Amino acid sequence: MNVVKVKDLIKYFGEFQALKGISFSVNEGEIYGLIGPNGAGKTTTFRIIAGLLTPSSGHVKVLDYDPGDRRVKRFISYLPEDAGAYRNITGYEFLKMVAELYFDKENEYKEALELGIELSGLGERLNDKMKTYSKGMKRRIQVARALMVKPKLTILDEPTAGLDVLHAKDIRDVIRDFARKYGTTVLLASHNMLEVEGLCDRIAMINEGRILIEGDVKQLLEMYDVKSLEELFIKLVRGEN
Amino acid sequence: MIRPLIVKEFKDLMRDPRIWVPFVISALIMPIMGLVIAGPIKGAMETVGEQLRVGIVDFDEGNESKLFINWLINNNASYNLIPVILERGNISHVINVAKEKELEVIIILERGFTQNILKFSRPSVRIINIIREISFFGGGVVGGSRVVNLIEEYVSRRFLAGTNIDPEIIKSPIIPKYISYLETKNLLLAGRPEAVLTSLGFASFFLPLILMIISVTVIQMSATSMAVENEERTLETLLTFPLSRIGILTAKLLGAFSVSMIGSLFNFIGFIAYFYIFSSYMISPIQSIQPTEELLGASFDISMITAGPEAIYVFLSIVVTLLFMSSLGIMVGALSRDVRIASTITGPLSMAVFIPGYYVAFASSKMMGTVLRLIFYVLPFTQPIIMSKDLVAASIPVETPIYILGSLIISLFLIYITARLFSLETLSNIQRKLSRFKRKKKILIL
Repeated sequence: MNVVKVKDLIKYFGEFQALKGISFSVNEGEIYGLIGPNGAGKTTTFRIIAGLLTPSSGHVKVLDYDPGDRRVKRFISYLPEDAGAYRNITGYEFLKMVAELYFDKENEYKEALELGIELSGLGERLNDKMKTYSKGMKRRIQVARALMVKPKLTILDEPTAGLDVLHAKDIRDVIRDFARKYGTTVLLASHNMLEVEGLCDRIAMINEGRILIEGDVKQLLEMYDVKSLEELFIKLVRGEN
Repeated sequence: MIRPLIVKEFKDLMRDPRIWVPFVISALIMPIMGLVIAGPIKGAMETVGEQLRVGIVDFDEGNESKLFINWLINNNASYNLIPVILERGNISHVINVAKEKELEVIIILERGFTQNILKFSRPSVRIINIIREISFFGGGVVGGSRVVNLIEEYVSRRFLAGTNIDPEIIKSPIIPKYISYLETKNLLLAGRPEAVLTSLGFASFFLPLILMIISVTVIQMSATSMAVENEERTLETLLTFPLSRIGILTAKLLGAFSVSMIGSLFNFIGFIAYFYIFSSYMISPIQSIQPTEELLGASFDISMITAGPEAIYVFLSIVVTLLFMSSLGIMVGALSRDVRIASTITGPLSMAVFIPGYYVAFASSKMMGTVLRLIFYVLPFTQPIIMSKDLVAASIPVETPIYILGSLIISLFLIYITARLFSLETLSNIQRKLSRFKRKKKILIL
């Protein structure tokens, strides 16, 4: 079953064409990576899928709903790139607020909150205001916030951007383990090819608003006879043999 | 050595509109503020020399009181006043007649006036100031003071009749007993009118000022709260939560509104404390009043002028205005990429509150005119300001519920507009257009 279906997606910002006919689909339980350089169109694509922007033309379906449909918001979690934190709210209060927004029943909300606390890995620091958190800690709480509601689709835009090696690894582990354990579909954007290679089942390479190539990571590497996605990307963009 | 660094600092600061825009605004605003305040000051000064309608009640009916009245009638032109003889009666009757005849001051010549003058003793004279509107500049007090000076001049001359001594030599030849009648409040206050009116005059300025400060604080607070969402990139997350846009906006509005209500409460506590301290120190003790005159001998208190449904109207108006200001702030914040831009925009917006606010605080109703008063009464950002001033200085019009409804409609319309804006698509489109406009302007300048 396709959780996300994107067909001929075009998006203009004024006269600037950010997306030039993007098509791809994401299967249930899959970790799908959208990789490309800055300004390639990854964030715009994600914002359209999350219902934050409307496409200029083309079709997008999320769990057979239009992204703008309010019902779909219950099933998706979106983590924007560089999403910050509320400075004067504690980590615990933030997670509690999110749990309360998603669930009406007390047992469901408590379960989500406990999961969020566990995923954040922040322990006692959850009782501190988020303005005291490091960038890595803020990212961990945002990832925990996105996953704790057990969404059918999680959209993570550059989840490890700007983090040190250890924090980046922790976050990758959390995403991978969570996706395997709960069968959540993950749509992930990154310009870190190495990260995507280790995390995603399938990928699409995007550049200047167009998808260059799409498929299973291992198959793509074999097909193009390259050792890494980075090598493959350079080959595709520069036309090198 | 450090010259290049100084040049860089200067360029860096001067090229940032968030830095220089407030300077330009200050330069533009100050003369406007000057004009706004100068008008009412000029108006107040002009009233000082205006013709005064003075009522005279003669309880003495002696020779000296009759001489005084004749002197007043004969010299009315040189003192620029119109004397009107009133029948004797209790104070309510006298005041009712004074209201009918549009008098500004009433002189009550008490029993013993003639006897005291003949004995070279200071006679008691009761002066009633009819105050139609309290002003920050103390209009209304002037009439009473002019009349007291005049009686003093007359009595001094009588004491020194037949001599060549300058009457100026006699200090305080009469015992003036002051009463102020606040016509719009139907309230009689004993004591020197200056103390009462200065106190009320300050209140008629400070209460609107407090409301101006609250309004501006609410815009700044809600704009900052929303701009922080943009700056910290939390708005994007917020908009993906399973809530409607109007739900998110309502939550934002109610949050800002609740905090502003708490803030307003603190401001009002401060104001009441100020007024209590002020009135405790400034108001003279009540003078003894003859019971036959039916003058209420109550000590002056703010509750005497603010109690009743009028205070409820002001409260309702403040609630609607806080809603309007919160919504305006959220709109500004949503359109601002960061907190500093939001602050730069709220600066000029604050002036939209302060300029008419100062005018309202200083100008009399007569000076404002009907149309301007109507506009101030309907616009949410001026309504509680003019209403609070009228609450203290005059009276709130009977059509106030309609005005509050008008303000509510404007506020709800603004909330509707804000709700329409409240999507990432619309906000980023507007922000992009604003950036493009700025770039075009830059190119034109180059």
